[in-house]
Amino acid sequence: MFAIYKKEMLSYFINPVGYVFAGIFLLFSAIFFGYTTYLSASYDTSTFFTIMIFAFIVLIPLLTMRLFSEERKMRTEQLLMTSPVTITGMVLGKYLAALTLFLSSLALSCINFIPLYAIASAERSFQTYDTLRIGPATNQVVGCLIGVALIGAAFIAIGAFISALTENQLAAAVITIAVILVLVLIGAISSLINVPWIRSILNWISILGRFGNFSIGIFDYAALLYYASIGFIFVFLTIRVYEKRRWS
Amino acid sequence: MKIKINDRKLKFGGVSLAITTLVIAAVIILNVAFTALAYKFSIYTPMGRDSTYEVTDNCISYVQDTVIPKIAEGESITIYFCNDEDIIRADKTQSQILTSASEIAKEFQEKINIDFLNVWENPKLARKYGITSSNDVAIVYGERYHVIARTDFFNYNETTGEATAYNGEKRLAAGLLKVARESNPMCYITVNHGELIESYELLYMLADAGYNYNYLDLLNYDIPEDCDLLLTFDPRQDLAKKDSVSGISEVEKIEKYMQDGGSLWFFASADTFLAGPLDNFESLLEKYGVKFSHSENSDGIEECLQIKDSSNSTSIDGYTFFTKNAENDVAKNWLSHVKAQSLVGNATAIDVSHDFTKQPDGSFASANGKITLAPILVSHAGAQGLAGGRIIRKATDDEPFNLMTVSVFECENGKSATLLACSSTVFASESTMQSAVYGNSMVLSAISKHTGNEDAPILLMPKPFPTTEMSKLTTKNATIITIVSAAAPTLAIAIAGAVILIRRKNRI
Repeated sequence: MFAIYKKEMLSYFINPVGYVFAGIFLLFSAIFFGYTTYLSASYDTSTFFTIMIFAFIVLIPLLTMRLFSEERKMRTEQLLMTSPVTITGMVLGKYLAALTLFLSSLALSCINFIPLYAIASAERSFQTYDTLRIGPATNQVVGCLIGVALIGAAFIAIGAFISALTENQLAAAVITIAVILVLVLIGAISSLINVPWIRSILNWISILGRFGNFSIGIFDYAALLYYASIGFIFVFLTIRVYEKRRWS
Repeated sequence: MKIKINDRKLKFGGVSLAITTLVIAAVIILNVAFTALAYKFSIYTPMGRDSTYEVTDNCISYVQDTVIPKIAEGESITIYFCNDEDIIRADKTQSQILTSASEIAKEFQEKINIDFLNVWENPKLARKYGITSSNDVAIVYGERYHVIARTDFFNYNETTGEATAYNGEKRLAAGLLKVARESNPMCYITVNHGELIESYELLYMLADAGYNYNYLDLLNYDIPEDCDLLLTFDPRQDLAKKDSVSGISEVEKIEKYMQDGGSLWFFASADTFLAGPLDNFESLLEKYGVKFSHSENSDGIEECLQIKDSSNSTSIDGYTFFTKNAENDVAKNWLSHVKAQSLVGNATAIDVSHDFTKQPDGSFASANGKITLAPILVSHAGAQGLAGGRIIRKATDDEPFNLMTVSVFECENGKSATLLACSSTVFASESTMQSAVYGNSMVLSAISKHTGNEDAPILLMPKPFPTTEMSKLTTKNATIITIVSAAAPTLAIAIAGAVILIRRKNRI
């Protein structure tokens, strides 16, 4: 698995893909961050993170569309499946490489918070007695970052699975966008449903609904399990697809 | 032990599909079960010690000490959220209030529980409990109930209307106490003397302390038997006294009320006496040792002293300033939990009647020894008392200006009457009472607790939201920061990528 992981990580840096993804991620995050904080004269970062989740609908398929479909198109899939590495190792190696690139980009985007905290620190020196907290709520910021990382990991797993189903990268990207869009918007749809049990199911599935507790600084173990389960299920399904392909 | 599976049926086909389905089903069942458990047992961890919706130990202790003992064996209080559970959890604000309520219910599982009541499907129950919105929270104990509107869980900026703090644990704790008690103390607020309570925060504070309140026209009605507290706020007209024109005496009504062990809170400010002296009010108060400072201005007209303390002021003019707790035993005892300073504004000073003598502990006693007057809040040394623009006197450490006093009178029926005199109406304004930084609300709760309302919560304070507005960043600087933040890392990545790719291409 580690060999596949290393190979994938190297390919992100010897091809433009890694740089393009990281560059676009940083550009989008900085623009959204600036627009929702500095230009809105607000320390509230919750809008930024919500917009970023919607941005993942487009960004993550760009990262995952070539994960498996390129191997299939270039006919290098046979080499992978006949190599000493297990299918599970191969899938996990590719998934973890994509996840590493995503998390690294997310970590780099945190430099946007440096000017925000610096401005808050400067304003605190002018605070009057009746102002208790100036600046972003760090526990909420940390909560949102954890939530966003978990959501990204889940989306990458979905994208990897869809990429494994087709050799056409564009088709993989479009289908991934559609699936992620449905998962993100399902919470909004639930408010239109009058049947309680259907509404409960839709809210339970809703990605944004689960993000709520993280956004107010609460580490929700049920949401953690939910996002990890999505990641597990789709990675598992990807492994099953390749197992079937190997032995059929 | 590694199991090698070579059978093709297990690799693909119906068995493989069955295994896949089972695994997915197991994951879904695990998630459903864990989510249900997480909701029931509040399995989550607040990150950071200042999680706004987390319930403090003070709240748990308060509920433990004041509410739980009042719940009969085998009975419980139910906190109803007025919609289906999934809708409540999907609503950000409601789920946050639910978090606080759940934490309280989790601590007292046998005595307090949470339930969800869809008011659209149960209109009779909604009418019974006086629920007017699906956003309300109803606390029910048997036939007693208390409804809290969603807006009551938050404090708001009086200018912008923006929510500034979360006051949930205090509202929930006060609501629980209200239904747990068989009867709640009653506060009557006098009217028809030009009284103007500008902010509802004082009334909210009384409600949180467990009082029900109503308004009372003393001219036309007697003070009801159930009156536990009489409140007069910034009167501009004097009390009526029996004379040749009218046989009604408001003064006598209040005197009788006090002699029967009543409690009177009187709020005034430097402006209260602007329209002229309120002789009847002042002579009534003077019997309990309270005398608002007057001085003649340069025209020989009596004016109320206005206190200025530039060294401890939050305003440029010096008239809004911090007080300090008085040094006598009563103040030290009553305000032992109040560490924060209180803020007053447009304050006058309270002098002690001349027939009261100072005691060794710092309080004052009447000549007959039946009335004790204790300053509660005083000014810092160096504060100035002005009238007509002239400095009349300055406060010293030994003789500060009294800004809030409490007089306790031992009645013949064995009860204790109390008079709280406060010389600043700004003390009870919205910004001071809502603030988690000033001690104003805690002081009044403490006084309420020590003057008959033992269950008043002192230590439950609103939790302010972070100030989300940037006040010092110009648009130009904001644009520059945004552009630099967007361009710099992107360019760095692009350049690094170009360099690496070109070098690699050249190597090849």
